[in-house]
Amino acid sequence: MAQKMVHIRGLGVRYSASRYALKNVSFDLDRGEFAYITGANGAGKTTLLKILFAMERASEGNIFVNNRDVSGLPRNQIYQYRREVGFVFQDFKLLPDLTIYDNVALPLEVRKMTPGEVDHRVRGVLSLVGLGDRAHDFPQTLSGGEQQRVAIARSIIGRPSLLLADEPTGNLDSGTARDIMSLFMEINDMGTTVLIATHDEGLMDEFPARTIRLQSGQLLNDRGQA
Amino acid sequence: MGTRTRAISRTWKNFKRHPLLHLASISTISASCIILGGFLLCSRNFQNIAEKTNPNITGTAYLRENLSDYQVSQLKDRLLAQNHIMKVSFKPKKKVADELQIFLGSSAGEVLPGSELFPDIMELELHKDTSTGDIAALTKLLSREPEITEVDFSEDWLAQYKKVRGLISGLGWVLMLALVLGCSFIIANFMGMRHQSRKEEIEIVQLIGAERSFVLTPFVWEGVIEGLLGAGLAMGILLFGKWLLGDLIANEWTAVLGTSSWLFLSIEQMLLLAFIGMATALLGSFTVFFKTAERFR
Repeated sequence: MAQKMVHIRGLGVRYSASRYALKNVSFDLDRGEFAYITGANGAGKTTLLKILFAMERASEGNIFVNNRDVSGLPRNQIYQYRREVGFVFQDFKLLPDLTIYDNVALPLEVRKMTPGEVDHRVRGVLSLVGLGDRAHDFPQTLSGGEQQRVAIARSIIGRPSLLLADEPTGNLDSGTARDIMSLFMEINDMGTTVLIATHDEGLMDEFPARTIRLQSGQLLNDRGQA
Repeated sequence: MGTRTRAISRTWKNFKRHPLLHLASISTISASCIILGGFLLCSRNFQNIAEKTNPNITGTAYLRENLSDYQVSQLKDRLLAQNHIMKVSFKPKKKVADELQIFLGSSAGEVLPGSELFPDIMELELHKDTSTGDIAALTKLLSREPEITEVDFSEDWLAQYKKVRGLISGLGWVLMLALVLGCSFIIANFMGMRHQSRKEEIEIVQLIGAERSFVLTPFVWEGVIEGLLGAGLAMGILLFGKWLLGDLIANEWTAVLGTSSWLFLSIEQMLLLAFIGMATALLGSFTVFFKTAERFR
């Protein structure tokens, strides 16, 4: 397990005795791996990511991320755990009255970094996502693709070991979606483990990787496992 | 950069990002402080006028006819030996009649009909802290003196005066309490609105790994700053109002009120106002604090 970034065994999320969001899901993710979670709407993709990000609690099973037991994580340690994991949302979740620079800098402010360090890192990561010249613009002046790039920049600025993305291309046109996927690949090449929830089969074909398929909360198949 | 500097810096950013909501909170605190400060201002000047009008409790002892100077002097000494009596002055009937004539508007030389019936009197001045019970006991005691026929301390007026002062003081506390609670409620609502407007921000900041204190500290700083600004603004407006209306009231009412100088709030009252402004705003902040804390459970 030492080499595993994610280790999930018998994961279940039950709402009642007969209703569940996830049932007996088990899989591992190696360090530096790139994988998709896919399935139809309601398959349990988002619930799985939320559990990995400590936004929801599992009813049963073991979940370890980077050797940390996420299922037994005390509430007062969640904020520390979230500093080790990045999350990209479908709706970007940017703060509209902060500039791009301030949005991206926020995770570092939370970590109480010095302004010099913050500036250095923000400029670096904005340059990586191709928005170095838009630092002082506001989110609403950017296109959807550019806003998603800002959200990705914010999620990786803390140098997380695991990056989770929930339908990151769901609101984007196909061209922009491809650019975003290329960016995820680039981030993965730098050593970050990436797990993306998507139902876009075309993109998965274009950027092939391991694909974990869920159906009605259960693991249907796991293709391309390393 | 220290934790406090960071928090103040974020508070300042929040002020810039939500100026209208902050202005609304400051105006609410300010309006409350103006009402309370106005009340304190009136109360202070009322007390000042009352003290100028009648600084001490006075009374009159009516004397028997034809007392000798020796008897008057002996009586004076005995009266001064009493606990509550501060000052005693003898007034012969002639002087009493003259003062009455002056009060009635005729010249002192004229003979006032019936003035020969006036008795000689002793005017008594009592210590300020003399209670109504003490006055009643003193009246009883003085009535037993052979040289005195009657004693009058106008206790009714005194009792009324004390009642009014007590009422104003009680009203002040009730008003203060009502204002603090009322304003806290309004400010808590403003804070609630601000909290709603920043709900998404709070959620996002939590998701990127913010500690509880990172989210909540600015609310407390905002409360302190809003309270101080609100109270300061209220004092400025009250000072301006005193300057604007002071001369007008003085010109029109000096003769009636017996004073032309109007007092502003005392240092203690100003500090109280600043404290109440801050307490009100902080109460609002803590309401948001606990509302937000719910979200972290």
